[in-house]
Amino acid sequence: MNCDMKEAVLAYLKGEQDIDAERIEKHIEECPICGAMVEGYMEKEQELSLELEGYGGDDDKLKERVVHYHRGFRRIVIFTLVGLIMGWLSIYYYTDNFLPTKIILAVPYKMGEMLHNILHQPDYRVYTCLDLQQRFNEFFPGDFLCTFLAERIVPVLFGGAIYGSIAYFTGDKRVFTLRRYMKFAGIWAAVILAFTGIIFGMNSHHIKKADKLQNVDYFFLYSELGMGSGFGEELGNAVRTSLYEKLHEAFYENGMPVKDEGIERNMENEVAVNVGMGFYLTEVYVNYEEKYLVTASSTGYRISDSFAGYVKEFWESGKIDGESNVEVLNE
Amino acid sequence: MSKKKWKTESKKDWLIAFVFVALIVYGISMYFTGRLNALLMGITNPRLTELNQPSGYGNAAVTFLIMGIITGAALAVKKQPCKKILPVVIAGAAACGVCIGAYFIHCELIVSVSESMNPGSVWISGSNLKNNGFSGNFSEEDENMAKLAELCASLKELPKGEQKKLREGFTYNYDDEITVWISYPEKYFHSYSLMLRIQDDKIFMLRDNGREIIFFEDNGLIKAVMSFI
Repeated sequence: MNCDMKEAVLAYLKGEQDIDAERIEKHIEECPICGAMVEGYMEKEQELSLELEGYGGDDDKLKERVVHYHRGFRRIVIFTLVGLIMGWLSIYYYTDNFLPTKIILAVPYKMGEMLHNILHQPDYRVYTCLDLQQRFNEFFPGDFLCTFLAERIVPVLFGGAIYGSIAYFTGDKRVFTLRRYMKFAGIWAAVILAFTGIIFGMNSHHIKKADKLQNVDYFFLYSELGMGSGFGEELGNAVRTSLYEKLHEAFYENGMPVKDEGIERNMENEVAVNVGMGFYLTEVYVNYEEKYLVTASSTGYRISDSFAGYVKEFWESGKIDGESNVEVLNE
Repeated sequence: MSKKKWKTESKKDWLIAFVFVALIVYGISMYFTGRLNALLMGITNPRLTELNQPSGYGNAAVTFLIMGIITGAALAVKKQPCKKILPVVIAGAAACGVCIGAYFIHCELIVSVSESMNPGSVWISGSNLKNNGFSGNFSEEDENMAKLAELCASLKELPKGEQKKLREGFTYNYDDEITVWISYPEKYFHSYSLMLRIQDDKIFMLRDNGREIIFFEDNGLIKAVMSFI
C-alpha cells in the first residue's frame, strides 16, 4: 500500500523549507503508513548518530599493524609517484657527470632500454652507420611516436615500479609481505609488458602503412657531392616549399607510385631518399634510370619520369629543376 | 584517507621528502644543462670553449639554491622562527656560491695546463691550405712545435674596447679561416684543447655556438702557424 503524501512526508523529514509542515504533521498522526515510515526513519537516525568508539582491546600488535599499514600504504603511493617523475627525468642521465646521481637517474631508462633490446633486434646499421643516413634514434628508427613512447613513457613505468618496490622493502615486513609485493610487482610487470606490446603493435602498423607511401609530406634527397637537403611544407623557407611542391606533384603524378612486384633490383644504381609521412620517416631506394623505388620492406614501386629526373638531378648536381642550388637552400 | 594522514610527521619522513625533492630538482636541472653552461660561460676563462667546459657545476649550484629556498619555505609553512629559516636559505645560497667558485677554479686549472705541460698533438687545417694543412704529435725536439706551444700558452686577450671595435667590422667566414687545434693531455680530471682560428690576420676564438668572438693579441703566433703550412 502507498500514500500520496509520501513524498511530502520525506521532504518534511529531510527538513526542506518550502512545505506545509503543519498539514504534514497532522497527516502523519492520521495516516498509519506515513506514521510507520516516520518511526522507522527516526530509529535509523538514532542508530547512525552513535559515536564512534576506538578499539578497546589488548591486542597492541593488531593496533600497530593497522597504523603501519596506513603509513606503509602512504609511503608506497608517494614513492611510486616520485618514481614516475624520476622515470620521466631519467633520459637526462647522459648529461650528468657525477656518477652517483648519474646511476640513480639512469636506472629507469636503462631498464627500458634493456627490455626493448630483449624484444627488438634493431637494424645493425643503427650502430655502424654503414648506410647512407644516420639514424638518430635506436628504438624504432623513423617512428617518432613509438620511439617517444618507448624512450620516455616506458622508463616512467619502470620508475614507478622500482621506487614503489623500494617502499615495499622498507615497509613493515609483517604487513607488507612477500606475497603482497609479488602481487604489486606482477601488476607492474603486466602493465609494462602490455604497454610495450602496444608500442610494438603500433610500430608494426606504422611500417605497413608507410609501405603504401600515401600522404608523403617530406622528402630528403642526397647528393654524391656530399650534401643533402630536406623539402617539406613547413620548413619556413619559400624556396624549399616550392621545391617540395614540385617533388610532391612529381611523386604522385599520373597515379604513381604504382606497386610492381616484378621489379628486378639493380642496387648499384640506387640512391637513398628519405620520405616522411607525419610522424614517420622511412628510407626508400630510388633507381632513377630504371624508374623504380623500393621501400625499406622491399616493396617495389614504379615512379614517374619527373620524380626520377629530380632525384637524378639532385644526386648529380645538388640542384632541383635547375632553379636553385644548395647555397640558396641552406640560407 | 583524510588529508591529515598525508602529512609528514616524523624526522624520517622529512628526510625522505627532502631527498626525493632534491632528486627531482636535480633531474629537472639536467634538462637545463645547456642553458646553465651558457650562463656560466660569462665567468669562464676566455681560452676555454664549450668543448672543454667542465659540466655538472651549474646543475649542482641550481639544486642547492632551489633546495635552500624550498626547505626555507617548508619551515616557514610549519611556522618555524626566522632564526631557523634564514640559516637554511643562506646555506643553500652559500653552497650555490661554492659550486660556482669551484667551477671558476676548475676552469682556471684546466687552462693552466697549457702553461705547465706540452701539448699531445697539433692540428692545423683550413679550406685553402695545400696538403690539407698539418697534423702531428707534439715533439719537444721540433723547434717549430715547441715555439707554437709556447706562443699559444702566452696568448693574451685584447682589451675590451678593441674587442668591440673588431667585432663590429668583422665577418666570420668558414672558408677563409685557418683552424689551430692543440690538444693537451688530461689533467685535473679534464681534457683541454685550445681551438684558435685565424682569419684576416686576426687570432680569435668562437664560443657560445659561434655567437661570441674573443680576439687575441698576435704575439707571433700567426707566423709560427704559417711555418707549418
